[in-house]
Amino acid sequence: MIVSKAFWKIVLKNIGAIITPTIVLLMFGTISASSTVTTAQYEACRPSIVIFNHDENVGLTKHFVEYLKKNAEVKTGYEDNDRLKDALFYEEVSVVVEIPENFHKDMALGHKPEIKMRSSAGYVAELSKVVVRRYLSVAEGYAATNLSEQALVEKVDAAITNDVETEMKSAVDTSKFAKASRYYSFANYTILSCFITIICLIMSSFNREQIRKRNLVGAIDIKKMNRILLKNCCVYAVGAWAFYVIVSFFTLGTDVMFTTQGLLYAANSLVFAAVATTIAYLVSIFALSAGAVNGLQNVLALGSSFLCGAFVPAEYLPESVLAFAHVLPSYYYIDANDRIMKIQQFDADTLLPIFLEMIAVAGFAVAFVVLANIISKKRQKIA
Amino acid sequence: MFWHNYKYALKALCKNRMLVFWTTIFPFILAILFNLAFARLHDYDVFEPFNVAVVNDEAYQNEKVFSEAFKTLGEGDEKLFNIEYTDKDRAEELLENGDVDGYVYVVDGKKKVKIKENGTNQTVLTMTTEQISQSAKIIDDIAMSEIAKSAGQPVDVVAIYQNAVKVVTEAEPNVKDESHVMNVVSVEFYSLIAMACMQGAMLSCEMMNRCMPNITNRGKRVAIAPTRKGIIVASNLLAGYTMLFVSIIALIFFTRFILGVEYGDNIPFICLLAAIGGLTATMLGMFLSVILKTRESLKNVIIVVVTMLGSLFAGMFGAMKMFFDEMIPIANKISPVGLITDGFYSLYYYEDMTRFYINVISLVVISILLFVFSIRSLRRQRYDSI
Amino acid sequence: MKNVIDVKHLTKSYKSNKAVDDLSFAVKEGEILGLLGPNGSGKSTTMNCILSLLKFEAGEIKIFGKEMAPDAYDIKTKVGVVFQDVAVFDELTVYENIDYFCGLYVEDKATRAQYVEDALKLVGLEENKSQYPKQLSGGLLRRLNIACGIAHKPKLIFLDEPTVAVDPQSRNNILEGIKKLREDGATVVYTTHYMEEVEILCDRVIILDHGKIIASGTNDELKALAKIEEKVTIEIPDLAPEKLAGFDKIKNVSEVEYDNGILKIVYRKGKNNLIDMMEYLKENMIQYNKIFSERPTLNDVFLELTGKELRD
Repeated sequence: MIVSKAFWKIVLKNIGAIITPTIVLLMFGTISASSTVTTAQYEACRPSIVIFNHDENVGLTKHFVEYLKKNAEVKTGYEDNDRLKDALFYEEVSVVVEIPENFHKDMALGHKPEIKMRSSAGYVAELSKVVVRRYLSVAEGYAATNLSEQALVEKVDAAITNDVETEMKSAVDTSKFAKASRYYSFANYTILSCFITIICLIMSSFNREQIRKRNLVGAIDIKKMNRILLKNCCVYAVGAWAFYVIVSFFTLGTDVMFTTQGLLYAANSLVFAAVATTIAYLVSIFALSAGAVNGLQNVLALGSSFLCGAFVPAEYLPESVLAFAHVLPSYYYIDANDRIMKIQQFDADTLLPIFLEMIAVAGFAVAFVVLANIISKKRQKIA
Repeated sequence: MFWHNYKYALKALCKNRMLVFWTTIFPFILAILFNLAFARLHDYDVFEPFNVAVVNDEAYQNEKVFSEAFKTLGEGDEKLFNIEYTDKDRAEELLENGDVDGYVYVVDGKKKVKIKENGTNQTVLTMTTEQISQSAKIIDDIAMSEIAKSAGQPVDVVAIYQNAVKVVTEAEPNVKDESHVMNVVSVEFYSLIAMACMQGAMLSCEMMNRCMPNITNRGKRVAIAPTRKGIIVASNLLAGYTMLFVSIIALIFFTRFILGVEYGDNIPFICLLAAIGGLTATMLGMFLSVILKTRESLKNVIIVVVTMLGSLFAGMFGAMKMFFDEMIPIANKISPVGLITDGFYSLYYYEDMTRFYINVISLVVISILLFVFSIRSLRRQRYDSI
Repeated sequence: MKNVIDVKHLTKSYKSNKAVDDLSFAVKEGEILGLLGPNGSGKSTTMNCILSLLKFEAGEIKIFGKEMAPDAYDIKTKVGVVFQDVAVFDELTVYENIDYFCGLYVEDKATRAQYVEDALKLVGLEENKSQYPKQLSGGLLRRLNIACGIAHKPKLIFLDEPTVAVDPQSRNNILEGIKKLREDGATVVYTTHYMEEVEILCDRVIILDHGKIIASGTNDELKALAKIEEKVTIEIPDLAPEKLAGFDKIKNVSEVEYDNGILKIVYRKGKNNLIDMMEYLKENMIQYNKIFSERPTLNDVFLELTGKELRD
């Protein structure tokens, strides 16, 4: 009882260390839930375009503007150049299109008036540029055939609306789970850093306590005490995990989480919480100082998050990095999250790899426990 | 006396594993991780060709211009696709197994793309198909109108088509791209350097604590010594700054020359900004150390919170700078992190140096203000309690 | 003999709590003055006020005849302080630590090198000079702490509980060292709550409680304040109650206590107490094993003056 009480006192004392990564997770969860544009996934997002029209809004110019409005979100209020630059930099605006004076007349005459364009970086901007260029190619192609402006507009309109029909094989909208995947993959960082910090700090302060207690009374059996400590670590781990899952219901919405996929995300993260606990336990054996724990925790949590695709999606990572990442449990956890996102129907083909990856993560947990026991035995002998 | 203290302060700093880790090793580790994680974000335009299938039935072959154009995309060194020509069932199977990212087929002259899920390759496939389809239509239209012009005279249809293809393929839209696209990866490294600068606050706070009798016992020793406090404080801070400066410059050169991060031709200016940013962070740490009358550990927490909040406002954690700029416009005008990041940003993004110098001057002014406030507070040389 | 320190009417409060209350005393050149008192009696506060580290409401402090102030560098040069808590750099070796702190006083390198060697010798750390503080035992660390405070050969040395939690060997070394410093001409102010150390070491003692001086003087002067002359303990395996009552009637006896075969007798002032008692034992044919007699300690003095023990 006294051991458990002391345990939770230490948890409370170090609450600051848990709060920071948790807040980052929460912010990440809410921001990614509300943002539409990410490099992570193409979600048929509409690029945002700012138009500076120096021409009259008639004829081909009007048609061009209409076209842009149909294919992108046209934004206004960027007359201030610095503000516009900032907006481009932070990808609030994908492309700025400047239509010169007499655009519609010059175009109809086949003069190819110059359109000025400025884009932001990133994938959406590249798409938006294609959208703009496509119109101009079509218009210039027809303009070469000496049509009247009226006929030109009609021709362009017909060609440009001749859209290719895209059929999506999947019935499920993966974008619905994209955010859930991102949230849970990001939790890789949160879980690792919180668990390592808390469990290491507790274990090291108890190792000091232990010695003191043994000298004083020897009333508590060391083995029993270790069991109680481990039990409490597990209680903490499950509690923290439950908290992250409950939070996900709020940030991602119940329509996402009250699904089989939601259940899989929760189960997958529970397995990962288990491996994180064992990693923390393994680290705690070395009885490092608080400062060293803090450093190691950052390196482990940030390192695995970067290398396994918790921050930058795995599909953007170089092959060599991913190949290396296979030795880390985070890789399987994050990969399983991605697989859950892509599930369209629940059958052996889709579920088996996910379960295998969960088993792999659990395997890591067992391996870490065995390793921890071997090392702690060796250390005892030396001592 | 100054150099005696400086020598030992620097020696003690270099042997303090925790401080060395956070100011020197940690940014290096992050730089390496950034480099690994963002390696492929480096260049957008390098697409790996990916697998697509084409349902090569009669309907497809009838679309001569379209099929010809599509074929060219699967040829040559800069090919976009690896095309497999097959029938509909096989295409469906390939898609299902994930062997292709999508397939193209034609029904009643209408081009269709079928994909399994959304993704980069799928979008490229869709957009490319649309573009080819439109070009094909234009070529048809142009050729038709040419043939119509001939009003029943015998014409060289092949020549007309060839001409039409030439018109369309050579039609390069007259677009002047004035984008000044910043390499996203560089931005990440700028924010990393800004973060490394901010470690100066932690360093100088530690250095100040060492000479403050109400914080540490070593401070008491220093306070009773017959040495001017100003000399001790100045040499302690200089020692902290020396270590910071060396590690930031090392970081810049490491990222530039070992990791090959693009910083443009601005290395001297980047070093200047980093040096001044580090100075401001040092002054901030000094200021916080002097005005906060709390325990050492709590001070560190407050410093971390202040720098983190500044980093958040400055957009280090995603594109939130605009949002905060509009909500709390003053925040990024006075927060050192905000000014350092904005300095890097303007250095890269703005042609004229005005904005850069405004940032640099703001940093200098803030450093001076922090310094003056700290000194005024420090001169209260006896304490209420220690 | 000159006064090295003159403290007049020093008063210092922490919020509503008066830590030092109208304190006046002087320290003479060449003496070891003990500041004795329980925890929280105002010893450290007094010292910190004298050193100009703390603000105080009222009072005047002179060191070497001059007003003490934070920027009185000429005074500070001649003062050395050993604080209660160990104040050294973990990142520097024993030698470097002493050299660093000494360097704040002594600029000349050659002189400093000699001073550092002297300090190492004084505290017996010559063999540990390239070790780091973390590698030292508690006692050795305390010795390093002292070396850092006195390496610059100050004329006036303050030692604030330098022997707390120190093993006997280190404690002896420390106490010997302090005596040596005095022999070399330093004046020492020694703060402690160990009365034994004061008795061994100090020429003069000031007993503080609640920020006030409750007694001061040499060891003997203080002990004279005690109303008891001595305490006698006798081992008597078997003592009849009527014979026990007889002890009360012996001259000068103030208290008699018999418990578990041990008889304790406290004597008021007077001479020949032990002889009288021996006679009584003989007359009544009381069997005894051992007798020993103790002089009153400073603790007894403190107990009489305040009604509580010196140690809590």
